Amino acid sequence: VSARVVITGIGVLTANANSATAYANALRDGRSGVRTMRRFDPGWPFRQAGEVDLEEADPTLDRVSQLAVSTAHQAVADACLPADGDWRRQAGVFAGTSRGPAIALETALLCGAEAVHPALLAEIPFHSVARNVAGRLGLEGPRVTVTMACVSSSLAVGRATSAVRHGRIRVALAGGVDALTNLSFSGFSVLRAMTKTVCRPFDRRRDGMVLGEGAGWLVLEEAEHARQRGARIYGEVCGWGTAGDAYHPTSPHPEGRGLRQAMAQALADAKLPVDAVDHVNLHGTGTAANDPAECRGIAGLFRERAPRVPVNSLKPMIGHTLGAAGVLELAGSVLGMYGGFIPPTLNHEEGDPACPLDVVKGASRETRVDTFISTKSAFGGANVAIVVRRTA
Amino acid sequence: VSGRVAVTGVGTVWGRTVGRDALRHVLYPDVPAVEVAGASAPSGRDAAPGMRQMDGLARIAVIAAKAALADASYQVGDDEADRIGLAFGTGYGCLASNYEYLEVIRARGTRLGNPVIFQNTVPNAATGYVAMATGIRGPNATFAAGKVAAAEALAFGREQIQDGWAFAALCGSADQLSIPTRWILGVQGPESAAGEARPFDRRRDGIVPREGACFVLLEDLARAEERQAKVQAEIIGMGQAGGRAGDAPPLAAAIRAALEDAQISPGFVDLVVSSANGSWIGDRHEAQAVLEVLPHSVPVTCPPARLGDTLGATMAFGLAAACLVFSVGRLPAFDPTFVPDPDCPLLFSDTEPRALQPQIVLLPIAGDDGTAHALLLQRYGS
Repeated sequence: VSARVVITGIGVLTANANSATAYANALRDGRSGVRTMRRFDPGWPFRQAGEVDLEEADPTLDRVSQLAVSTAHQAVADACLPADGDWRRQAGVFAGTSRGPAIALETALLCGAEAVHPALLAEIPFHSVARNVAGRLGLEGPRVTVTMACVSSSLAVGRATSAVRHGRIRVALAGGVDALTNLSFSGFSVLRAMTKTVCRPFDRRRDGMVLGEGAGWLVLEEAEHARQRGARIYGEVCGWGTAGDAYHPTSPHPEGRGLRQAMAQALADAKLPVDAVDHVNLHGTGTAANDPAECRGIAGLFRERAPRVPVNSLKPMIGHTLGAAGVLELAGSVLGMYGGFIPPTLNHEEGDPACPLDVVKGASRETRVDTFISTKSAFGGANVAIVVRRTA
Repeated sequence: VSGRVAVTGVGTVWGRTVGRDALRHVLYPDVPAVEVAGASAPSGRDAAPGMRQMDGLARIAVIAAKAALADASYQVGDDEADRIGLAFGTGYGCLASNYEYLEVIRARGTRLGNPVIFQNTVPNAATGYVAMATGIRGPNATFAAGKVAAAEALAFGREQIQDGWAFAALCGSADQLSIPTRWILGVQGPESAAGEARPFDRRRDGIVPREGACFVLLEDLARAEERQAKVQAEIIGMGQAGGRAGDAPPLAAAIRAALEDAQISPGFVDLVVSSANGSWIGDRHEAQAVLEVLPHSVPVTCPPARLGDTLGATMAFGLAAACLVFSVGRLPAFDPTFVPDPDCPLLFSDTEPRALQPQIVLLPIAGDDGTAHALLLQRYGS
C-alpha cells in the first residue's frame, strides 16, 4: 500500500494567532506576537517571548496538554470531520514535544509533590499529551509520542504520513506542542543562545533566538478518503526524511551535513528533483551557529540555485516554539502556498555574507508556490525535512 | 535489499552487567557468564572521559548501543553511515536531568543553571550521544512513550529498513530511575512492598522498577546474510492498537494486528515472552488478551520476573530474552515457589527449566498511554 497523504485541517495556537485563518492573516501581514512575558518572571533582563494567551480551564491538565487539546479541536473542526463519525475509531495521534508537560514537573518541584494534584503528577510523562488529545477527542487509533527537541513535531508529521501511506490508518492528527518554562528560558540563556535585542534570522547583526510557545496540529488524511467526503485540501505531504549529524550535543554540523541528507531523503521520498522546490521554510533560529550551517546545507543540495530559492524563518513572529516549531512553521508555509504568498522573515534587514540566500524579508511575497520543503534541526544533531506540494 | 528484517546484535545494560552474555547469565544462572572486556556500567566519576557530559540515561544507552554493534560484529563505515538508522525509546526520558537542573536554579537562581545539564534535559540528547559514539548518521528518531517506548523505536527502525531508507538500524531503549519517575510510578500503581517481581503469581503486590538499557541491531536480512552475520532472529510482524480513554489498552487487537502483518495464524505462535510486571490489574489484562487470541497450550515466559520492570526498555529486553531462548534452547526458570493466579490461567513456564525450540515468538506489551503493541519474532531459518 502506498496511499497519497493530504492535509485537510489545521489548528494553530501561537503568540500571533488562535486559528488557522488568523495565522494565515498574521503571516501575510507580517504581524509578530512576540512581547514582554506576563505569565512568569524568567529572571533575566531580556523578557521577550512569543507567549500565548490561553484560558487554562482544566486544572487537571498541564498547560501543555491544554494548548494541545484546544488546538486539536480546532484542526478537526477546520477539516470539517463529523463530531461523532466512524473516522475516530482508527484515527491516530502523532504528537511531538520537546519538554512535554514540563510545567507539572516544575510545579511539583517548586511546591512539593504532595502539594500537587495527583492528576498533574500523571501529566509529567511526555506521552500524556497524546493520551490527553486522543482521550478528549475520542480518537481510538495508534498514539505516538516523538521527543526530539526542535524537530519533534516534524518527525511526528513524518511518522503520521508513513502510517497513512502504508494503509495502517486513514486519518491522523499530527502535530506538537511546547510551553514557555523556567527551565527553557534559563537553559537557552545560560547557553548564550538568546538574543538581547530581536530575533533576526540570517541577518548580519543577529545575536540569538527568542523563545515562544504554542501548539499546532494537521489533519492528515488518505487522499481518497478526503476526496470521498469532499474535503478541502491544503496540500499533499509527498515526502519526508530524517538524518543525524553525529557531531555535537547542541551545535549543528557546520556544513549542514545532516540537514542536507534529510532534505535529499525527503525529495527522494517525494520522487521530486531539487529543481521542483519553489521555497524552503528554514529553521532560522537567528543564532550564530545555526543559520550559516543551514545555509551550507542548502548550498550543498541546491548548488548554484541556492541563492535564488526563496527562504524564510517564522521565528521572529512566533518565537522558537521548540517541539511545536516543526508543525507550526510547516503549517505557515502550507497556508502561504494555499493563499499564494510566502511569509516574511521579520527583522531581517542586512544579509550576512555567510548566508547568501534569497531571504523573504519585510513583507510577505505574493507568489505561486507549487512545492516547498520545511526543515528543522535540533539538539542531539537531529534533522527532519518535509516536502509538501499543491494538489490542484 | 530483501525487505526482511533480521536481528543480528543485542546489547544490554542491567544493573552493573553489560552485554548479551551477561544477560544470559542473569536469565540462566547455570550458564557461566562470559567476561567482556570493560564490561561494567560506569557512572559518575567512574565514567570514561568521553562520557562525563552525559547523564546516566545517555551513559547506559551508549554502552548498550556499542555492545549491540560489537555483538553483531558490525563496523559502521563512513561510506554507509548515512544509511544506518538510529531509533531510541525511553519511558520517562531525561526526567532526572530536568529535576537536577530545576533544583539548581531553584536553589541558586535562574542565571546559574548549568549548561551541561541543560543539554541533557531532552530525551534525544541520549540519541545524539549514541550517534556520536557510533558514527551513525542515517534516519534518526526518539520516542518517549512510557512502557511501549522500545516498541516505537523498533517499529521505526524496521520501517526504515523495509522502506529502503536504511540497510540497518540500531534500535533500543533505556530508562533511569529518578525522583520524578518515582512520583509517576506511584500514581500509576504500587511498587512491590516485598521487592519481588512476581508476574502472574497470586501473591504479587506490585512492580519492581529497574534501570536498564537494551539495544538491538536490525539489518536487512539479505545484507546480513551477505556479510555472513550471525542472525539471531527475524522480525516478521508488528502491530499497534489504540483504544478508548479509560479502557484497558487493546492488547488483543495489537496481537491480531501483528499476526496480520506477519500473515500467520495464531496457531503458529509457540512461545509468548510476556511483559507482565507484577501489576495486579495489568498482568490479568495481559493474560486475558493472550488467551483471547492464542491457543491455551502456548507456553509463556516472563523476563520481568528476573529483570524487574525495565519500564520503556521492557520490549527490548523481551526481544533480547527471546533471542537467548532461540540460542539456548530452553526457557529460563525463575521462581520455583510460583503460585498461579487463577485469573491468569496461562501455561506459565518459569517454575522449572524447560527445553523448548520455539519457531515463532510473540511479545505483547500494553502501554500507559492507552495503546498496546505486539511483535512477532521468527527463529532464523525456520
